[in-house]
Amino acid sequence: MSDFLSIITDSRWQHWQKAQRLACAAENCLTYPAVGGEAGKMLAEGIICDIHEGPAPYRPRYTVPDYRKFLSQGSEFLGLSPAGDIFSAIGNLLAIYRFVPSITGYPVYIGQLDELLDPYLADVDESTGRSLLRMMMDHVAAVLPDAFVHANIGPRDSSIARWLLEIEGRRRSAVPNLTLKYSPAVTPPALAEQAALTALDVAKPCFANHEAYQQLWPQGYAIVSCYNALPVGGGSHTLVRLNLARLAGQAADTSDFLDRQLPAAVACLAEIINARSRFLVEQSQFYATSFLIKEGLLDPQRFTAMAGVFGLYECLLGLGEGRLGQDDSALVAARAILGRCRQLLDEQPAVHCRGSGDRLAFHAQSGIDSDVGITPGVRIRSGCEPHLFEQIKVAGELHGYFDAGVSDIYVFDSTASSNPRGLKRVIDGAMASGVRMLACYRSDADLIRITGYLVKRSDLEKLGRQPGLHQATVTLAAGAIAGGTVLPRAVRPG
Amino acid sequence: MWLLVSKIIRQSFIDGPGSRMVVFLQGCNLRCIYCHNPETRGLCSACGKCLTSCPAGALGRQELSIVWRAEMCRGCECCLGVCPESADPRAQWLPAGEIYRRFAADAAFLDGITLSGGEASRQSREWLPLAGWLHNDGKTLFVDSNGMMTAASRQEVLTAADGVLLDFKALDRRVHRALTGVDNLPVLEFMAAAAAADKLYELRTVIVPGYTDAPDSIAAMARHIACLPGRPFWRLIAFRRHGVRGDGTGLPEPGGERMEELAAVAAAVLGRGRIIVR
Ligand code: SF4
Ligand code: SF4
Ligand code: SF4
Repeated sequence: MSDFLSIITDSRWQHWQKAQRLACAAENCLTYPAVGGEAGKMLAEGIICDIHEGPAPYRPRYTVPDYRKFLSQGSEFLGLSPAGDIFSAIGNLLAIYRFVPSITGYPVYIGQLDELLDPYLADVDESTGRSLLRMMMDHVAAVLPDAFVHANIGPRDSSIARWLLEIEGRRRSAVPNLTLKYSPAVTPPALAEQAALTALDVAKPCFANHEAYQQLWPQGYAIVSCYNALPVGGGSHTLVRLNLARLAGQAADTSDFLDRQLPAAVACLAEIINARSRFLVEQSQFYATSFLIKEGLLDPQRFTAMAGVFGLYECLLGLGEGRLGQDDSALVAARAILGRCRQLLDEQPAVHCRGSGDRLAFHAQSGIDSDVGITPGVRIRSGCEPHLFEQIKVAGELHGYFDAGVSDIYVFDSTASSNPRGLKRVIDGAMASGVRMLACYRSDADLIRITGYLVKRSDLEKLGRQPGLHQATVTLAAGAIAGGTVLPRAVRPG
Repeated sequence: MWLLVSKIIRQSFIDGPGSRMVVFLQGCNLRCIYCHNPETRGLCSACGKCLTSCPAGALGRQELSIVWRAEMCRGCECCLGVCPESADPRAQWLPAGEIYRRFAADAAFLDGITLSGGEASRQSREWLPLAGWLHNDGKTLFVDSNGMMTAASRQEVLTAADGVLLDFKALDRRVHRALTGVDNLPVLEFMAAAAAADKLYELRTVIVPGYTDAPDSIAAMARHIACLPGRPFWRLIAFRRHGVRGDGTGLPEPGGERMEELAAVAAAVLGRGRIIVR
């Protein structure tokens, strides 16, 4: 009870921020979905981590609504007619976002904006179209102040895509996050170069390897939250991640790791994921009650559940395989480990995962605030990067193991801004090398990426002086930097 | 075909179009007072003065030449200051094929190679095959030059290279003499020939206060450039004392405002899109 009171009386937060914290605290009073002793132990030891999802999931971690369908049919539940023009299209979208559930309380996906809005542009002149888009982005940033809120554009050219890049280049806000689905064969060079220059300035858009993701998710995918690739019209019930670095600490050597530690840990990982999915689907009633399901904007058959890994870099160090990015032995071991993970995951049951063909989806998790000294996903530890080309080649070798999202971050110096063509060449090279998702920024830019989310350097500096900043992710990023926990949530394995 | 290479940069955004590998070739025929890379100018006479300057013991003698052991080198550059020839004991003889092999390993990320220096045209016969290999791969070869070269080299550069980045140190002959010790007529001729061949990609001018920072002379240079066919870019580079030796160390550096002012003068003639300031 004192927990609740201390949240209520805390002078750092706005009332709605307190409401979110109160909801977390209340959920944390419940018991965790029943898992076996071994799985419980791995959760307690932090070898497996559910990323503070809470013990009683009552909404999927990530949802990816079919907004195209929403615009064409309106919503009975929300009392909205089908969108007839650009005004009602934007109005309807802004109305529904607030009701799109996710783990953060904010929608992690706000749509493929070019496809959604371009068809309505015939009604208005260019300056009205731009003003509306700008208004929409300002509204999203104010009402959904969270950098996991993610919009998609591309791979085709469109007025909306070009305007959005321009507007986001000027707004310089971490919200919304933006991904360009990129295909060198489809995306015109001018759009790719504009996107690359914008990314240097404001650390977005990210570039997603459209050719690769299209093959993985033939019925359509979206990039949401922090580089997750998920099926449109579905989403992911949960994401539970395996700390490869910590698991390596228990292994005698690499073969022990591959033959004993990984099989046991992956079995526990799958058990926890399945227990959470089962609770969500079979007990929480989400899929039976949500109007998004009833109106066909989400389809339970298009959901999956994600198994994540992180800390590969430290795992390899711990196993004595050397430094990823420097030593060939590390890359060889990295491939063996990820290949083994994928194989072991495929041997596990995947409850309520029709959206990914009844397999668990595999994700390289980009880290959270409480990861101290552990590198996100399968990246090379920051500060230890080899030459950019080597970094890209290593990523290209490792990204292919992941269907549900994996990413790398490339930092360029200021000379890149004068040469968009060269920058595009490097990005094209990365895609050809097998990189599935990349973010970049310029070393002297204000908007940067901390592990995965976007944050302003200037906001981070402000945070020390002025608590209760509007954007939730600023606090998260500060936590990631300080290596301390910002939103501590008790994890009580059953 | 072996090339004397001072160093290789795997990737640059400022040495020609796109993303490029840059190969710095050892040896230059000029002695500009503001030279930023004086160690790339000379050729080693194997005098041995640098041997004792190396704190890492990375330098030694083998028969008549100096050997450099890359794995022992700490990059401290103590060896450079003592060299009477403005040479670099770390310069390496590499076959053109080895340079191509290194390029090919990174080719997915690169548009081509830029040969810089020193003065790249001095080894034009040796690097000629590189152009053919790159063209076969759909990649390009650019040459960064001071414009002072033999007729044979000029022919080779203008036929084999896809583009030239050319020093335009000064239009005024007295200023050019003061900076380089030589007249600029051959440079202006090469400039015209490269432009006529549609190979003049970029001109480069180092702004040194008292020498090249008068708005009038910048305007005159801009008008000269405006008359060239092919619309080359013009890069204005602020003089920096870093790395400079000899008389040049006493030269003043231009401020950012001065650079912007000169860029505006240049842009008034050529358009902002063609001016690059660094
Ligand atoms: S031409 Fe270039 S390398 Fe040669 S001396 Fe002059 S500045 Fe130095
Ligand atoms: S590099 Fe210079 S100092 Fe060293 S041996 Fe050659 S000429 Fe002499
Ligand atoms: S830079 Fe020159 S002096 Fe320094 S360690 Fe290398 S070879 Fe020796």
